[in-house]
Amino acid sequence: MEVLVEIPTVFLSHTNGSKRVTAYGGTVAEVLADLDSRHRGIRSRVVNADGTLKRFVNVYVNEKDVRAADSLDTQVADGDSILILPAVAGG
Amino acid sequence: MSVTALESSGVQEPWLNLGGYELTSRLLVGIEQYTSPSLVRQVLEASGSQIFITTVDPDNNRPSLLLSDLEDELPLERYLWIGTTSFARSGASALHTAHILRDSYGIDILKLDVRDDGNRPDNKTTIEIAEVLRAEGYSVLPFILPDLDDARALQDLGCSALRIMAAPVASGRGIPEPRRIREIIDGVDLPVIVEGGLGTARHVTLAMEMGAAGVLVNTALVDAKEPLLMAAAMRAAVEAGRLAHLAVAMPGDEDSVGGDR
Repeated sequence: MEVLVEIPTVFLSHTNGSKRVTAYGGTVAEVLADLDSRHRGIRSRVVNADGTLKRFVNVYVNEKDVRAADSLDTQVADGDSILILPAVAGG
Repeated sequence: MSVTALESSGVQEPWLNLGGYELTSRLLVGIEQYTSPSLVRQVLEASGSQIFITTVDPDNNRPSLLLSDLEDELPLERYLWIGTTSFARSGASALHTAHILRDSYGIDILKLDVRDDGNRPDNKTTIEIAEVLRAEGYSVLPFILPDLDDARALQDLGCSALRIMAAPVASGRGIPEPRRIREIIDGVDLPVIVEGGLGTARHVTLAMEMGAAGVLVNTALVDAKEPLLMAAAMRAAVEAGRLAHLAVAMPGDEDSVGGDR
């Protein structure tokens, strides 16, 4: 499945400044692994060492929070859009 | 006045209850623009601020430190978590941010900012969104330009405190129109937090002397050559200003504090 991933501003250094990148996979976890193969370091900012989603990072598939579905095992379809939305320091 | 009475005269007393958490520090510190989690920790410690401000950026335009990284550095649980919508440039974006913060992190105390393209508060939209958020049960601390009617409208909505802009955010210009701020402080029954443009200790002391319940600073610390020294200076300035306000100064400098003391 080919999906479009929206990259948060704080991760842009991993994608050479690209805000939207294409990635492939059947689940969110697979998409993140694929993303990491071309944009090294992104996955570890989203996923814990044990493979779970980090506490202060949300991931949405077509605007639906994956925590309300199967978390990183949530299935994706061709053309889906994925948003990574981390909590950040505020002022 | 005895020393004991002085100590309990309003400098260390709780002044704002947010969700059952009583704030005693009148210095609120924003933590945008930092690049080092360690420096955030040190600044918060030096300032004595009791709050930790967090947000998300659904519009995806603003870089800021990740909570995932701050979590390793800071004892987050020691702080009162307050969400902010300071990245929002529309009412819809502010609401969206508020909902994400509550749904994902249980944050229902909100530093409500709806700013225009020039980064100035949009009073009208802020009031509209405050009404929605109050109906949804949020504790709301809205940020507005000094306007007494708008301040009273927000008071009537049950906001917890008002945040009034002294000068453009990050300008460091201080309080160019003290009478406009003083009018709000004297005209509402809510704690008034002065924010925006407070660039050094002198500005903060002035705000507190005018009767502000507290101040919020961010850029003043980030952009100081020595952020930790400025954090300590701001902390002392808040206490000095508060004490001077309670002491009621001699006549002669009424203009500086926006009118009759």
